[in-house]
Formats: sequence, C-alpha cells, structure tokens
Amino acid sequence: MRSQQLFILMVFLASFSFGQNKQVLYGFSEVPQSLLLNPGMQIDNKGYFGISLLSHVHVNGSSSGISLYDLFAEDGRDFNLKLRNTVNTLRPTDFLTATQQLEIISGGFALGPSYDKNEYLSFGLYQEFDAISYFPKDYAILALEGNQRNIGRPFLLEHLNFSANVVSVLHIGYNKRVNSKFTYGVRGKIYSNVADISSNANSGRFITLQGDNNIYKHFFDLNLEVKTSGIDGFLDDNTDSQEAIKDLRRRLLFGGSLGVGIDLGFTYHITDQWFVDASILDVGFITHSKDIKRYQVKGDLEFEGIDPIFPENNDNLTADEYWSQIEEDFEEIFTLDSTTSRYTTSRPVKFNSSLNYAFGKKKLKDCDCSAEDDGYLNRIGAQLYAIKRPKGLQAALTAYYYRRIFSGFSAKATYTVDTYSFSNIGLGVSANIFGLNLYLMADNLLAYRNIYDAQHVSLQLGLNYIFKNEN
Amino acid sequence: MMVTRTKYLYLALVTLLVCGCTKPIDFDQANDLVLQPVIESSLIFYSASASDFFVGGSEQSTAEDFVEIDLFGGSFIQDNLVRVEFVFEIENSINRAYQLRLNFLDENNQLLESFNVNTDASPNNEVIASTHMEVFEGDALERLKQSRIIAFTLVMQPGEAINQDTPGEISVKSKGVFSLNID
Repeated sequence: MRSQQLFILMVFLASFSFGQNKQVLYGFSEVPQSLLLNPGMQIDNKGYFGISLLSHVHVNGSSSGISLYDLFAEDGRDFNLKLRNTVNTLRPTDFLTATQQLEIISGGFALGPSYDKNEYLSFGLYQEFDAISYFPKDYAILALEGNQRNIGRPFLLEHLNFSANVVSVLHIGYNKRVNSKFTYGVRGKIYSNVADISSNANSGRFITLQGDNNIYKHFFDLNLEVKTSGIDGFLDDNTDSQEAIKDLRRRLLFGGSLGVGIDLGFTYHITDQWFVDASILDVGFITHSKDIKRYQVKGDLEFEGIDPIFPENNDNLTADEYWSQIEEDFEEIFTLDSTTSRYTTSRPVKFNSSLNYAFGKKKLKDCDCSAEDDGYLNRIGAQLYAIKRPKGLQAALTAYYYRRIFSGFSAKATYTVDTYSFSNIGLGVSANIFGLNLYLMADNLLAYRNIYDAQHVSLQLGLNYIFKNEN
Repeated sequence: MMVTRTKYLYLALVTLLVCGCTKPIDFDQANDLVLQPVIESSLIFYSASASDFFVGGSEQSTAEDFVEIDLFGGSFIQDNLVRVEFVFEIENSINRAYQLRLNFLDENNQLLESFNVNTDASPNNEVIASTHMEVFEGDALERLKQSRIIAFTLVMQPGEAINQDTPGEISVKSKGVFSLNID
C-alpha cells in the first residue's frame, strides 16, 4: 500500500507550470508589493506598511503535461490504463511546482528633500516555500513494467530531480528616481534556511543487455544523492514538539543556515507614453552548514549470474563463496551512505521585463480639456518572465491591459502564454479606501470552471496602509 | 420574503460551487492501482568440456554445489511475488546425457521443491540446443519462497566412457523471470 501511494505521488509530482510568475502583480504600482518584483519601479506613494500576515499571501500550484482531471476523472476507464497512458505521455522534463509566500512584515518610505523625495527605502520579512520536481520517468517505467520489456534500454537515474525548501527572507531595498525618465533600484536579501531537501545531480543508469556467458548481463552504475538541511533534527524521535516549534521559530528568525542575495531593476521612459522596465531577482545562494544530512548511493556493478563451477576447475571458489562475494558487492553498492558535509544551493533566479504604452487622459466634464496631474488612465503592454530551474529556463509571455477605473480603484487583466498553456487569463484589482490598500489577484480564471483540470492556479491577496503622495 | 430570497441565493451559490466548478472526479480510483512489473535476471551459468569430467584418471560423473540465498527473504518479495519462471538454455555436444537437478531447501535442509533439467547426449558431437522452462505459482511458489539454500547436482548419465581426449562441450545459461503484483 505504501509503495502504491508513493508511486501515485511520484506521478503527481510530474504533473504540475509556473510557480513563481506573478504576471498580474508585476508593474501594478498601486500595490507596494510590486516593488518586490522590480526594485527599480516608479513609486508614487510617500510610504506604506503591510498589515501583518495579510500584506501578501501568495499560493500557487501548477502542472505541466497532464492535469489531475486527466487521471482521476470518473469516466469509467480503467485507472491502471489511464495511469500507464499518463506515464507514457509525460516527459522527464515535465514537472510540478508549488510556491507559497507569506509576508510577515513590510514597509517603505520616501526619502530626500521635501520638495523632491526621489529616494525610497523599503524593507520586510517574508517566508517562502518553493518546490519543484521533475517527472522521474524511467523510475516509473521500471516500476510499471520491470526490465523484461526493456532489455537494452537504459534506465536513467538522472530522471530523479527535485528540490523543496522553506526560507525566511529579510530584505531591504533602495530605489532612486534619477530624473523623470530613469529610475533604478536594488534590494539586498538575507536568507535563513528553515528546511531544504534536494536531489539535482544524479547520474548513472541501470541496463540489462544480452550477456556473453549467460543470457543477460546487468549493469548498475549508480550515483544518487539526496541532500537535506534542517530536516534531520526533526526526524530524531527524541525531539518533542515543543522543542521543534522553538527550533523552527529560531530558524525563521535567522538561526538557521544563512545566505545572501540581490535583486536589481530599472524603469526607463522612452517617451511620455512609452516605457520599459526589467528586473532580475534572487541572484543569491545559501550555504547550508547546520543540521546537514546527505544520503548517497554510489558505485558500479556488473552481474552476469552465478557460475556454480561444476567440475571445480577455476578459482578454487565454491559456488557459495562465489555467491557471497556477489552478495557483498550488491550490498556495498546499494547501501545508503550518509555524510554531514556542508553544501550550497543557489536560489531560483527570476527575470522580469516589460514594454508598456500608456494612453487616455481623464477628461474633465466642464471643459473639453484633459485633467493635468492625473496621468494616463489606460496602459497596455507585454511582459516577459523567466526563471532558472534545475533543468533549464522556464519562460512565459504576458500581454496585459490596465485601467484606472476611478480614483483609488484600478484593475489589470492579463493573458499569458507559456509552454503548457495558451489560455491563462488573469485579473487583479486594487482598491484604496481611507488609506487602506486592498488587492486581490488570480490567474488562470478559465480553469476555475473545473479546478481539477487546471494545470496552474495562483492567488495573491493582501492589505496595506498607504501614505499618499500629496503633490 | 427576504428570507426566501436569501435562501434561493444561497442555494444558487451552492449549486454553482458544487456543479459549476468541477466535473465528477474520483480519487478512490487510486486504490485500484496495481503495479505488475516483470523482472528478468541472469541466474547460473557454466560451461565445461568433456575432459573436465575426467579427473585424476577416472570419470567423475557427479558434481555438486550449493548456494545460500536470501533472495526470498524480504517481506516485499514474500508479499508481492506471484510467479517465477526459470529458463535454462543448454547446448551440449558431448556424447553423454546430463541431468541437472535443482533442490530448494529451507534452513533446516528440508527439501521444499525440486526439478530436473535433462539434456540428451550428442552421438556425433553436434551441438544440441534445448530450452527448459520451470514455472512456480500458487502453493509451489509459496514453498519456493521459504527456501534458503539451492543445491545443484549435475549428473552425467551412463554412456560411452570419456577420457582426456573426448570431444564436446556442455554449456548452460539461465534466467529467472519474476512477476510481481503490487497492490
């Protein structure tokens, strides 16, 4: 039963797309949290603070390849048949990701002379969970079929590729409007590891070939490693829950393995109505040095069978001695070794960029002229997003329309294309009421008709208090 | 009036949530999952020339050996192995018939299962190829799973006497086909 559940989990792990893309929030400058996506964004408030624990909640699960619905639909088809089809359809580059972010505190304020506050400091603390797993296709085939139907086919161990981690991130950002055209920003981050598990550098293979002396020869060339940091301590039976919680709190507050990172970004106005911006986020790493446990399976072995050496004509070994030797070799190669040496993980680097066109000034009722200071009401643009993942870049392209509907209330609609979906429509609204800024954003709206068929869902919401710019 | 309206609104909302948002889906199907991998593995092999059976100036017609195995020891194999097939491929060009006997014994040396692989003599020293298959299922398989020792006995059957210069060779290759049913 356990192996069965594990197997289903494995297939699932394969099935989910973009965990980290927040295309609706990007460039939505009314929402202060958009500053986290581009530290060089143009800011038009005097300051803000996020209402604790509510200022930014972001959850996201997504899939590539297949959906939950494909597998579990009540369609009368044999489940095992559906599962086999799924396994055969999925590629080893298909993946599942899940991301979640929770802002604990955040705030910011403008700096500079009162007539021209052209600098902005922002800071905060958030917790982030990020996981990705590629589909371990060859492992699934081996579990489904065995090697009988796959003589001569190598089972590649590199198909096992996953990582998951929880970190808390303390950050401080500096933003400067150099002139009316150019703004840049930089954000420094300190990461504190809460828990990390990864297995991204596996290699080797298992293959069965026609043998020379016997029917088959089997080759095992194993090089597998799972690294964990901050997990082993919790697995210890002697740790009671009280202590575990204390320990968890300590790590969230920078008692764990630490790392550093940087975000960079800019905005440039080509004309009054056209502007471009770009950012690169989380260029950083964590050095894991506390509570490390690394598990390895390493070695190679060739097995062709036992020669019981009938007329005992060679080696002077009895069959049993011969077999014992083989058993030892097998044991040696399949024994799980563990070490506690430190290791480094890099953060998933993200890149955002957009080209935007603003238009349509507000018309005043009593004259046929446009209002002076309110700026443009509409904006359209294209955004490019990319994230570096263990098996390469994943990218998404978004077209959007933004509209300030009335003072203090604006909305943005997005259409996003990525490798796996051509029908991702997102919508976000931001409302300011008495200084309170409330925002809600979701994407893949079409999929909500049948949530199980969704390969990607993302939701962000939050609450801030904003000090408005008087001028 | 107001209450009824609220009720309808609520009903509509629930209907929308339940019916509108999902199509029927049944996660219990996962319980139907059955994995049926088939593993093939090389087992024993040997080859010997006729003269190997002529030791110290006389014919040695019997050779015996054994291995202690822990192949069936684990609970995973005990629970999920449903069929075992042994396949032997023999090539003989010696003018003597052979019988390979496999005895499966438990740790107290009690015989649980056994079978023979017979090979015909080759009077004109041409290679005679034959295949022998032995299938274990049901009760026989359960007994096989209890075995901890496999003893091999190769008996050269009576026939034309051999000496140092008798031509011919016998070679045996084998594999096990292990069918699992994991549910």
